[in-house]
Amino acid sequence: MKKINFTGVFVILILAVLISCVAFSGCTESPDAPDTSENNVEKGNSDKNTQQELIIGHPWNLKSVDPGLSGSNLNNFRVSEGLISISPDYKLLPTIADSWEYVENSTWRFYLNKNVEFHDGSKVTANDVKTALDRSMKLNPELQGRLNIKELKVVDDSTVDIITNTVDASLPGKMAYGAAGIYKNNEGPEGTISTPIGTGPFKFVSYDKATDTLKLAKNENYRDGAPKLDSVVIIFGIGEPNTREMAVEKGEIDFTTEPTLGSTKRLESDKNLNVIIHPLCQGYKLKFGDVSKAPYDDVRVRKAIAYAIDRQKIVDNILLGRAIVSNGIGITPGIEWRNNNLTGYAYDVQKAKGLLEEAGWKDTDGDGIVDKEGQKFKITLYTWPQRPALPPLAQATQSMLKDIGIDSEVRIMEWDAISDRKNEWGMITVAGGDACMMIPDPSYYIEGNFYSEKNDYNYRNPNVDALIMKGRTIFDKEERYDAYREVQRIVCDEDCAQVHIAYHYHMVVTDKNVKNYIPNPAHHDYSINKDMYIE
Amino acid sequence: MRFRDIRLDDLLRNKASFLGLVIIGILAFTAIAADFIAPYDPNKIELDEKLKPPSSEHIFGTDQLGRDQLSRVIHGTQTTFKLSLIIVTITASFGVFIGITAGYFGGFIDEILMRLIDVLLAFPSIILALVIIGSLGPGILNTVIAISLVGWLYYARVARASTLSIKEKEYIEGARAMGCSEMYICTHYILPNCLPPIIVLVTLNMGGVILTIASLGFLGLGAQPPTPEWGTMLNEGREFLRDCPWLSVVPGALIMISVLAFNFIGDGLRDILDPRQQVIK
Amino acid sequence: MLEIILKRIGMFILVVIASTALVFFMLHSLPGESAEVMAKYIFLGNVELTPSNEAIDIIKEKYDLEKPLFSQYVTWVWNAIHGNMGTSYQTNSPVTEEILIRLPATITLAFVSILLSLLIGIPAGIIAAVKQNSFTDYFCSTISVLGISIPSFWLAILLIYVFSYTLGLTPTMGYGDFKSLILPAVSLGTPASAVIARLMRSSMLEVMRQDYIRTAIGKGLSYRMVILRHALKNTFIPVITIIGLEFGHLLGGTVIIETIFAWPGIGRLLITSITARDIPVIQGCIVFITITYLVINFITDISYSYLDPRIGRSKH
Repeated sequence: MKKINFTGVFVILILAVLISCVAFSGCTESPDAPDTSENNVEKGNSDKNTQQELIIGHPWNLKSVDPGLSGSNLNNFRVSEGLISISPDYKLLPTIADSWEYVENSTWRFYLNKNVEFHDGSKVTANDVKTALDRSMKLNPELQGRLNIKELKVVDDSTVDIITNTVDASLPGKMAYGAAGIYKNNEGPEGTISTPIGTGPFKFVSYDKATDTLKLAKNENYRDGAPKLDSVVIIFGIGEPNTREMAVEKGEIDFTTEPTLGSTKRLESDKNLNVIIHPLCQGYKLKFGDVSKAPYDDVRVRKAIAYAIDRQKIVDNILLGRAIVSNGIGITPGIEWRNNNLTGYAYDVQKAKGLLEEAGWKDTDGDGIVDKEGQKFKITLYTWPQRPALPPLAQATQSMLKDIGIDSEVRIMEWDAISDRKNEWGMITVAGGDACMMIPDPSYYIEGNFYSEKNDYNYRNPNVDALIMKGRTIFDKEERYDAYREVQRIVCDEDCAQVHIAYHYHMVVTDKNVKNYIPNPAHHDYSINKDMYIE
Repeated sequence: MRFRDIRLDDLLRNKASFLGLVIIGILAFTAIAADFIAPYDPNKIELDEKLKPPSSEHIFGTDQLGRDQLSRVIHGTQTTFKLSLIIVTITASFGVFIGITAGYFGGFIDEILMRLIDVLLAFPSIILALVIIGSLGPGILNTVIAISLVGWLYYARVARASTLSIKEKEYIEGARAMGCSEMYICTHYILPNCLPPIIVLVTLNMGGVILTIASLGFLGLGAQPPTPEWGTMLNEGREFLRDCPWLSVVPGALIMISVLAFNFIGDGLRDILDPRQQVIK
Repeated sequence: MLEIILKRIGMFILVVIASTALVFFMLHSLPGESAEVMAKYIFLGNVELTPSNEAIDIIKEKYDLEKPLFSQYVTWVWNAIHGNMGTSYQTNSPVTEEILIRLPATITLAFVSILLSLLIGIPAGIIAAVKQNSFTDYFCSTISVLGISIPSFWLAILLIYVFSYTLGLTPTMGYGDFKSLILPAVSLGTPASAVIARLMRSSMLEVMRQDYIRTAIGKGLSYRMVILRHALKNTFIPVITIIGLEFGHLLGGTVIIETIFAWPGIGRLLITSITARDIPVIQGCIVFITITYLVINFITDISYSYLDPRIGRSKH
């Protein structure tokens, strides 16, 4: 039998295909991809020609570049700005509006800064403000409900009146909401905007839908001086945290957020990276399905659960340093209207058991699970998978509840599927996110969570409702904040309406040469700064 | 070659199949005796012991909640084997039933069933599973439903093909002449003769089913934590891929080994059952 | 031939209608009111917030969600027949555009993976068959069993860990250059190449047992000639079928791999659309995937009967 050299054939075939692959990929590269290879080249040369380009890897998708549809994205990447913005220490900053005042009859008057220009060089007029907000609210009824605006009236070129549906002291904070940006209405015939024109330090250059990549360039004429970065490239939709993490470690991107949970120490010790961990106005909590029904209609049961949670252990072992222990209310420390004098619920198993027993829950059959009138305390903990800390948090909660005799099952499903199960006996949602500064005003978190008409777990307390109404209608800041502080005391220390566990800390990883990033805890989830630069 | 001609020693002579049998034997024993051999309670959370690398105390280390990884993979064997056995039993019996019905009676029924199978086969099964589990919610039972819904197709095809060739055989004519009922012919003549290729398919399919269960678990759609299941564990370990690689490597390797073992046995069986595959010199 | 094609086209329509109807009705039975989910994605951009009732009502009205399901589906089919696949709820742009934009990425990946799997699978299968029962055969066979046993998502993770992270040879993500294509293509191509290698080996063995091959060797023709000229052509028939099937599997399989590698293809579009309940886009993707699958099968069958004329006569 004659031998043939198949190895040779094999090698030739491999070579042929490699060549054709290279050729093939060469074809796909050029037109439709503002691709990474090109960026890498620019980056490699950045030292020589001082091109300052920041490449960001972003976890979520960008739905649209139309400012009316893109939510907070354009504000966060500083293409557009609102009438007002929020500073890292939670103060309202004049932005497009210079000043504002409450006139009367639910009317707020905003005086515009006359030096604000759009990227195309035109001045921002009161009419532009009205057009932009009217358009956004029409496209997004949700925004309309949230802003509580009845109509906008142009007073003169640089003065605009905003009339709210009801007397509303919270309107200035609402004007700092990321989705309430001001932009030039240059919509095309089909009613969408494909090249957004804003007033921010960065100008829109291009958006490639295929790769979900947004390119921005500096606005040379920005009123506070041009930004130091020449351009910013944002690659959206990198959902896998491992991928984002390795990409920034390898220098494929310069800036990313929320790497894997276990990575903190390793990334911090990496000399090529900067790691910034800062508070973000979000938290983790247990939310009862329905506090008007058994078993949670008894405040002692709610408090027992609050005492059963070892928050320090959770923060140290599950949130792995990316959180701090909560005292019981979901308003991040440092926020002006937060009540800093709450008693809260320090971990105390004995107290928890005592409260359960007082409420009539005793282990009568010795199986380790408490029961009452023949009903065993068996519940389901629901949580969702998008936040990596939630499933382990739910499992830890499960084991802590077991210690006080509550038997539970963990189920991880999509958020929407969970909201269908609110009526299940004893269900608890183990929640993350829970933003408290989406709109920088106390009404946002407190009304949404505790106002009878707005909360979705049947929490009703007339005193709380009265205080909330007071907060809406009085204009003296301290008096107003005091009303909200009293609400916090009632819902936390008296009623234990929700069991808050921890305040979230956000992690940003950048290349070591990226300088001047100033985190802003009120932004969801982060925002770039004008003065960032690459060394 | 007939079903009764499969002899165990033929299978044992094939080195790969032998290895496969040994591995499956060990894993099956582990699955059955999981409660006795697991050194720890697989669901016992010890937060202070979290993310410990492999040591003499915890051979495969501990996971993010401080649970012993070895005990979890041992119990995971149980979950995986139980699930895949249930799925394969359901799909194989249903598929064979449909296949024999279609093949034996032919005509209109056959045409309809085969078109239905074509339609279902043209549909990407993972996407179907995603939609099904999306609507039913994740969990063990729904995993079984989602996989079974398309799993029977292959069995039906194979059973139909065998039935078509068997029903032309003389002994079927004979049985019919002797007045045997259709039902009797199907269960006593067709079914036993269909079995050899079905057995091969079952063995090979076990591997495929284990892979699908793991994929769904990996996507977070399979067994719910804290139930130990390999795919789910892999998904949980993904968050610690870089810092605690043992959390991803161990369950992944076990998935691979068990699929490999079933494939080895399946290949061996096929070689025995299909004499044309025998060596030519 | 014409009859076959007509039959095929009929089949096409049947499959597309059946699968889109299946998906349509199943999506509407998903938990959570569709309008509410859509309102979240369209207006809030955050699933953890609850939309207002006004917003939900607007969505219901805008997308006719109050109508009976069946009439909604009929409307969709009617529009689709007229070439209007609808617009994405999320981005407001036409579904066809959404799909076409992502098409190059998915096609590139699937094509390169298939190419890779053929390159590895075919020679490995031939070598194993020609040197049956040698060490090489055992080696190739074992590797190929390993290939079909390895979960592709796990392989992807290991490959990233080894090649991107430890060795730093390939990028971890991205799309556009050849380097970023390697790992996803290998992750997808490995199981496919194993399948092809196994099939190639067994069909090669079968062909080599045929009388004409034995005769050819007996006549003293060179062994290499016999293998390359006679045996190979006949082994390709089953291999071509499997390539068609594998290509279909690849289109489905990219769903996970595209997510892991942040590859901007149809798979990722489908996943994000399923969670956002963007039904027109999901339907569009399903139609696209089903049609591609059927077209490939059709081409496979045609080439099948071309390579082996006996088949064309006996069966459709």
